[in-house]
Formats: sequence, C-alpha cells, structure tokens
Amino acid sequence: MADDNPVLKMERITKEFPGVKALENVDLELRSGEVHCLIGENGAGKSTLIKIMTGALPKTGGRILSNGKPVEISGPQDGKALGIRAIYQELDLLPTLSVAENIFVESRPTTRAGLIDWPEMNRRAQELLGRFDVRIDARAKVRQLTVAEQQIVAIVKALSQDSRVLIMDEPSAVLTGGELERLFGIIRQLKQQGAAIVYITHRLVEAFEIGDRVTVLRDGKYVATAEMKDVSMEQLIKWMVGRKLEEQFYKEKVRIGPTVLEVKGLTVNGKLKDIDLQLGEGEILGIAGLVGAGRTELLKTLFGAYRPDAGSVTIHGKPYHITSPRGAIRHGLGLVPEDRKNEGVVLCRSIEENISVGVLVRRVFKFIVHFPKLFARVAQLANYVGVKCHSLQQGVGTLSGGNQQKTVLAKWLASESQILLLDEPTRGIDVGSKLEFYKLIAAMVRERKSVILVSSELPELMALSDRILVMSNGQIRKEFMADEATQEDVLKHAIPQELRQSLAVS
Amino acid sequence: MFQVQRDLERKTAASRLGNLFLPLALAVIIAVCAFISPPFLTQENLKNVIIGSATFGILACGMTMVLVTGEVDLSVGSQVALTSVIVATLAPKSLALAVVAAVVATTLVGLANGILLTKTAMPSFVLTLGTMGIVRSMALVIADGQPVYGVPQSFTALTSTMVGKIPLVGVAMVVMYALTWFLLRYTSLGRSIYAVGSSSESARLSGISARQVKIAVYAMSGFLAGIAGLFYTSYVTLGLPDGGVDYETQAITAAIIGGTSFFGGEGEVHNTFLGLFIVGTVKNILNLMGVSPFVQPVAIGILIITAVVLRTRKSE
Repeated sequence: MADDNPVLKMERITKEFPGVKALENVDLELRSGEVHCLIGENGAGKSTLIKIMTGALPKTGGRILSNGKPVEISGPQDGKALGIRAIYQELDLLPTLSVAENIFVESRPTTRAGLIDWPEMNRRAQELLGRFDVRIDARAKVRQLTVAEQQIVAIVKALSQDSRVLIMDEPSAVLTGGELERLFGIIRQLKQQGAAIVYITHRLVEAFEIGDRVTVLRDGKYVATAEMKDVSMEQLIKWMVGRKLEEQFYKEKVRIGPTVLEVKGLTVNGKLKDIDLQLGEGEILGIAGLVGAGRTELLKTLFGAYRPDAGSVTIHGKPYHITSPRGAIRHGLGLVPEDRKNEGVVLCRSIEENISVGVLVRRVFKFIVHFPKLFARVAQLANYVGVKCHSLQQGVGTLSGGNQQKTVLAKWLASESQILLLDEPTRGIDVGSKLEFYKLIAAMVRERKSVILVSSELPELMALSDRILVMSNGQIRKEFMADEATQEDVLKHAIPQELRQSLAVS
Repeated sequence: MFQVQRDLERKTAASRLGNLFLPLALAVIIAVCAFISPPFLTQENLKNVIIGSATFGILACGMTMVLVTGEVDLSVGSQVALTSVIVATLAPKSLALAVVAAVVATTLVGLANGILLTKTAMPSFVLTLGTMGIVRSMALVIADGQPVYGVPQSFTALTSTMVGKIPLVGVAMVVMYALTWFLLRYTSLGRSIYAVGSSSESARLSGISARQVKIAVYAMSGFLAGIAGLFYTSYVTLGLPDGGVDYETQAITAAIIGGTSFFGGEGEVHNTFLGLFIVGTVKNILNLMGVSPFVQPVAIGILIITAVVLRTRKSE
C-alpha cells in the first residue's frame, strides 16, 4: 500500500537566500522501507533540502506531499508531527546538558506526578547507548565527549522516538569502521519496520553498501534518481560532477620557480599526520579530499591557528616556527578561510578597514600610521581586485559573497603575502565572480606569489592547479600532476582505505 | 578506546571533585573566620549574616535562572526600590493590597522585559540597562523623590521575626531556593531553561520555544525581585525610591561565584546559595575585623576573579 503513495514527496522545491539560489525545482520521493541516498558535491543543496524537509528552514517554492496529501512544514514542530527526524551534520545537541537529557529532550520520562524521572531517563538512555556497544556514561555532559561520541548520541536521540522518515546527514564523517557497521545494522532494522531513511554521504561506496535508491543533486538542481543496483560508480560521479565547459576556468602557464615553502612531517594530533609537501614560486598546489580529510586543518595549521605536535616548516630555506596567525602573517602567509563571514572579514566594518588590517598587523612597532598613505594604498588594491561598491566606507556585510572574497584577498595583498592559502575560495559565489577570482589568482602567480588551493569542486581544482595532493584521514595519500589526473582517479584516492577494503570484502 | 575510557574516568572524577568544591570552600572560610574572630560564631552575628544576605539572595535566585538562559537582568535593583515605594504608599490603605500590588508590579516589569527582549532580539544587557533606568524613575516619580513613611509596625517586624533560631527572611529565602531548585530540576520548563541557554538553535530544533522560556524566566525574576523588595522594605522600614542600588551586581556576584556561566546553559541555584554565603561571610568577617568598607570590595573582587579562574582551569 505504501508503494502507491510515497511516505513523503517533495516537488519542485526552491529555496532562495539573499543573492543565492540554493535549490531550484528539486524533487525527492521517499518510499516506506527504503534507504534513499542523497548525494552531491559540497554546496549541491543536500543540507538545505533536508532542512526544508524537517522544517528547520522555510522553503521559497514547491510543495510537499505526505502519503499523497499536501502538507505545510513551517517549523520544526510540523516536521516532527509528521514523523520526520534528522541527525544533522552540525550536531543539534545541547553541550552543557547530560547525554541522557539530550536523548530525551523532546519527551522526558516523567513520574505519575508529572515530574521528570531522572533514574528512568538515565536507565533508558544507558540502555539505548548499549545498542551501540559504546562506553558513554548517560550522565556525562555532552561537551565532554569526543565528536564521534557526540555523533552517536545524536543518532541515539533520533532513534529514541518513532519516525517515519529518518534523515542522516553524513553520519560516517566522524564514525569509525565498527561504529559505522553497527549504524548500518540499525538502519536495516529500521527499514524492516517500514521507516524511510535518507542517507546523505560523500562516500559513494557507502551509498552502494546501504542504499536502495539514490538521488543526485548538483548546484542546487535535481539531476537524477535511480535504483542503486542499476547505476555504476562512474555514472554517479558523472552526475555529481557534471560536464562543465572549459571557459568556466582561467589559468595561465607560469614558470614554476624554486621551492618557497617546505613542510616535513607536520603532525597535529587528531588532525594531521606526517604531512610532507613543497610549494614552488609561482605554483598553484591543489589539495583534494573529502570533508573531514584534514584539508582545512592543514591550511589553518600553516597559518598558525593550530600548534603542530611534530614536523618542521621552512620558508625560503629559513626555518618557520608555527606560533600564531600573527607570526604567519609576518612570514608572508595569508589565509582566505572557508568560513568567510566569521573568519575572513569583519562584517560590520568597512571595506577600507578590512583591507587595512593586513597592513596594520605587519607594522605593529610603527605606532603612527600615515592614514592618507594607507587609504590611498587600500583604494588602489580595492580597485585592483575589482571590489564592486559605491564607497570604500561601505560595510563589508552589504557586499555579495564574491566581493567579500575579493576584500579578503586585497587584505593579503596589502600585507604583501607571498604564500596564499585559499580554502574553498569560490564557495557560494556566483559564476561570473568566480571567473574574476580565477583571473586574480592567475595574476598573483604571475607576480611570483605561490598558492595552496583547497576546493571541493574537483573540476575547479583540476583546472587551476599545477599539482594536486589528495588527502584522507589527515594524511596525504597521492600526488598527481594536474594534467595527468582524472577526476575519477582523484576521487578514488580521496576515499579512506578501510572503507574501500570493507567494500571489496562484502 | 582505552584512552577514551581513561579520559572518561578522569572527567567524572574531576566533576565529582567540582561538586564538592563550593561546600568545601565555604566550610574552610567559616572555619578560618571562627578561628580569627570568636564573635563570628555567635547566634547574633550569624543572624546578621543571614539578614544581610537575604535580599540579594532572593534576587540571586532569579538571576541564576536568567543567567542560565544566557541573558542577564540588570533591572532587579530598581525593582526592589519600586516595591518598597509601592508598599509604603499603599500600606496606609491596606497592607494586603500593598503587598500584592508591589509583587504584581515587579512581575509585570519582568514580563515586559521578557516580551521586549524576545520581540526586539536586543542584547539583554542593553535592554535591562534601559528598564533599570525606567523602573528607577517610576519609583522616584511615585515617591516624589522622597522617602515614603507609612510602613506599619506589623510589617517592619517581619525581618526581626524569628522562626526557631532563624530569622523569617532566611526561611523565606530558603523556601524560594528550594522551589526554584525543584522547578529547574524536575519540570519541563526548568529543563527547557537549560536547553535554551545551552544552544538556542539546538533547543529550537528540539521544539522548544526560546521565546516562551525567556518570558517566563524574566517574569519569575520580576516576581522574586518583588519578594526581595518586601523584605527590603521591612528591613529599612521606609519606601526608598533610591534603594536597592547595585543589588543586581550583588546578585550576579553570588551566582557567578556559585559557578553559573555567564554564557548560559550552566548554573545551579544551590551553588548560588553557597556563593551567596561565601560572599556574605567574607563581608561579615571583614566588618568584624574592622576593615575599612572602602577596601572591602577589593576582597570581593579577588573572590570573583579567583572563583572564575579556578573553574576555567578545571574545565580545561
């Protein structure tokens, strides 16, 4: 009976954020008792889609049908009333409260008098945790747990209540092999009980292992839905990556000079392991990998945001001791961070001030700043990177993503950075601005600056880089010359080894 | 795995020790005080400590709830003044009416704080800084800037009434703390207060309305400020429109020394209670030793900073 009317059907869902269309006419159909994989690159709109499904975000257009009847989901309450639950990627836990309380926050066990029954809550929580065979104390505070343990708590929380649709947003990102196996066991159990499971993952092997059907999204658009048994890995990758036109990118051939940055055995416990790399003058070094592979951590470590536990770094042959971002800036490094709004720019300050920061940090011991000179330089740089604005006194928060990103770049040009660390620099930027940004990168390497580029958009990474390092689990797995590698090669090495093996066995 | 296990054991051991930290600190302070100043342990002196702490104490109880939601209420000191003025003005007509009207008034002020806060999404520090001035002004206008006489003898006797060996105001305070402790620990509203302060987005995704919770908490803070104001009026025997100045910082001090986080999500009223008596005892011994009142705030300042430093060390 359930096959006639899908448990949940989303039709022509559209979601617009100011300046960005996150989703455009996306369809998704969930049947009772299936595991439906939702895949796509970063920024494809998977997380947005499930947030609309649960009511965490309102949709701009389209409609949702539950068992064939149109429904309005305008808040988390509505989603819950329909039996839709999600385990989010950004964990929706309450860090200062206990594990048990987090699990039962929506329906706390009470005594006959209507008071909270703590012994019962703790007992039931411990029992549910037991299903995962992990040693987590139900009375411990969530913030004392590791990320993997928190993920398990989030899963247990979602499982503690009956749901018709259970969404898992990249649960495997932080789980180890054994924990993942147990999760799969539980998913199969839920499936038999008739629940529909949406499983979001970057790891295609997992999709083949657990999925019944798959829906692929790309750039906020619906690409295809297929039976898992009818598709090949190659087909899925093609759908995810799409065919993109050459002129979307811009790259100039630049002679690569002597090594400017050399990293040996760089290790940050729990984040990076034994990283070796060299970066030549005028070179663009691409870093590929899945979310959580350690790419951002590598850039942030070089920039002094994390203290390394081992390893050495030299810049122009001289030792560089990683201490702080200030030290990194003095050594000529500049970071364009992934989280632009929190780490890249100061939203409430002007363009002028944001760019000047780069200069000011470099000249701490010169107390008197020649402001006319400074602002003349800033204006020149803003013009050079092409920030579109009506005045440099304008707040950075009023700019589009692309122009904010140019502001960040101008900041590092102002501080005369020689090595630029770009982390997902084009995420959330429209296509036109992307091209301008590529041209700026090309101009910088022409001026003998060097670039380390992290991007989850493989076509972009391959078109821009001279050389590509593939990372997984905090280690470098493979090195390619950009013109020798295919996207499939790169993706294959980005998947952690133990997962590949577990698939080969099964 | 082994490492995780060891970490877990270490963490639980640390938190067990943390639970004993405040009672131990208070016990040590009391022991030291008894040793250096024999009059400290006399019944008369302990009664003074309780009466001297009670008004802040009741405010600190509400303040703890407000701080747990991640907000602050600076207007409670002014609310104490408002209560005292209303009681003194209305008491000649009917004492019962005066008492009820005063508590209703502060509860409404609290309610207004909560509604404005959730409607405007303003930082509570700024909003209650505003209402602090407004409420103070209301008290001044009602009293015409003068102390109001007319609090009847029967009401001023409230403070000196003894229940066994404990002053009535102390009993009232303990009752307020017990009720609040119970509310926070055993009711849905209480747990939602912690959830909202812990992560308001996660609380929202779990179907908790931060709006309702915050309005309720500010209303309770207002109600408790009214109760505190009644005892204050009884103690000073007057309607004082310029009374209660600085009481909000005293309340915050007790809560912070008791381990309430300024960032929300953490704090227990029984620890605020201990924090209150740590401050009260230290103040009392400084008085007994004849330390200049100009220097006393230094001791309290050192106490606050030490408490917070010790705690952040521990949680690392």
